[in-house]
Amino acid sequence: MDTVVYAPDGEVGPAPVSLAAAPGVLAGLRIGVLDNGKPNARLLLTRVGEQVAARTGARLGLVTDKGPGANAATPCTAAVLERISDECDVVLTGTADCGSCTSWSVHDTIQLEHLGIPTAVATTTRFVDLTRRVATGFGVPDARIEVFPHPLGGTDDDTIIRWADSAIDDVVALLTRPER
Amino acid sequence: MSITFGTGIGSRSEEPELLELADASPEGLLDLYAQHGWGDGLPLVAPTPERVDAMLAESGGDPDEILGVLPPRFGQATRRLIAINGVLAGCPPEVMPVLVTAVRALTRPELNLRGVNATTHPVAPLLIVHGEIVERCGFNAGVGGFGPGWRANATVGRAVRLLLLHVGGAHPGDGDAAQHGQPSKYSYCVAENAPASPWGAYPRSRGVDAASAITIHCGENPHNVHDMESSTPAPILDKCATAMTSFGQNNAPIAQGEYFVMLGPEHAATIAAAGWSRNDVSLYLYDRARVSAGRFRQHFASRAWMPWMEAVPDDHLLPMTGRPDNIRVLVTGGAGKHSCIIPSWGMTTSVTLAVEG
Repeated sequence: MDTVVYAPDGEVGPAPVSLAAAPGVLAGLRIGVLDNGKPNARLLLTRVGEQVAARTGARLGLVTDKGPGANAATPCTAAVLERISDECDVVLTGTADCGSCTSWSVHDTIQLEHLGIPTAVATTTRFVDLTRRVATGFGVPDARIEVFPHPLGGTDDDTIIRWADSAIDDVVALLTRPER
Repeated sequence: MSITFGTGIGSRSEEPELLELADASPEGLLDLYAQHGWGDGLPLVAPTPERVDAMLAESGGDPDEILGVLPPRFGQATRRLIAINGVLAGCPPEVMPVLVTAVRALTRPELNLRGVNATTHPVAPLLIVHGEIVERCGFNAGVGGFGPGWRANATVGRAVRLLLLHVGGAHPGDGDAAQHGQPSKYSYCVAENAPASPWGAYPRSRGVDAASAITIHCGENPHNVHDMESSTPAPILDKCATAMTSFGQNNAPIAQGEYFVMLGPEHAATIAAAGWSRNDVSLYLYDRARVSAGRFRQHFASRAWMPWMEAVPDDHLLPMTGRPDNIRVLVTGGAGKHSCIIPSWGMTTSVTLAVEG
């Protein structure tokens, strides 16, 4: 006799957000950096921001952490989100190169996209699959993800700068990519 | 300004899908579930509607009400899904209210389940059961409480993990990045031995005065503390302090992290006989589990500290956690001269709730 059993996973919540409308060009726009405090995150993201600005005519403006008491394993504070919303047109954030920091960096990225700010999140070759999976969980499988070599933590400054410089074309494309 | 993800708590979800199980043997269920990527690798009890209904009968309320949404999958946790995973784990039906309360605790924001499920750290939610439900449901608070051998402890801890896997989507690799995993990710449940506690039940010290309660602390496996010889509190607690002062623990760079100090009844009796309260134990360990600020700074460039901790000079001895209250003390286990320390993942705060169906 056949037996009937339940599936154990159930329904998922509705996809809550979509990507922000991307600008056609970055000239004249303000680039922000949301640094989650992971080792080398600020060096990497700031260098990418400077080089993207130099390439496109944009300007690197606000460089910030997530706010008091927040870090890589927690969400960005509402006050910092508000400041970014006031002061930035596009954002670079990360780094998504561990477990909890990936999950919360993607969360921050989706929050910023929801606020209408195209945001690229930096991950590594070893955490890009998790990054994509978490973004898909938010209903945003085509989130703007830039992949760097792994690991970022413990890597010397010159190498980080070289990796940053080699990503500029990709990051410009991500931030100006039309929605699908 | 920010948006809240995973809303819908209180509304209804769909009843989970029913699947034909052509081969009703244990292997048949394992094969069917493996095809979907379900299970924890161990044999499962078939979640037939009859078994699931028997668990649901132990809980009031709408079976398909959304009680919480578990990240990263945003799975909608309902009583029926809790019952399904409880059956899969081998739970007796009467533990259902413990599981429902555990899900409510897991979804509290201060617990930070998004981080707990995703981190590379080997963290597992430890479920501690308190009060009259301990005896009524057969939880073991005495010898061997962390296992093995007791159905309630083993299966309730396992059901929590199955809910995180199935509803939360915390699959190793693509939802749970824990680098090495951890044995307690299979099952991690213990009961407080309140009858052997000289300080009464733990929940009351957290402002929860209910007949039964649970606590969830997201931490490491227990670290043993062994003292066979002391007749006063200080030597026992000094050994506890050495188990707390490890730079391998996330508590070191994260000041909000808690310690759960799980005293054996004999150590607790020795400490209480000297007139010490539960709070005295926390204060003593806060004072004794210390390392110089300079050594902390040498080892951790990135620190989630309180502002005052950054201000002290390098030769100042800093505590391993930011506040005495982060050192949580309770009694479990049986006869003998061991206790244990359970460090935290860090960016999480334990939750204690009254058991409600």
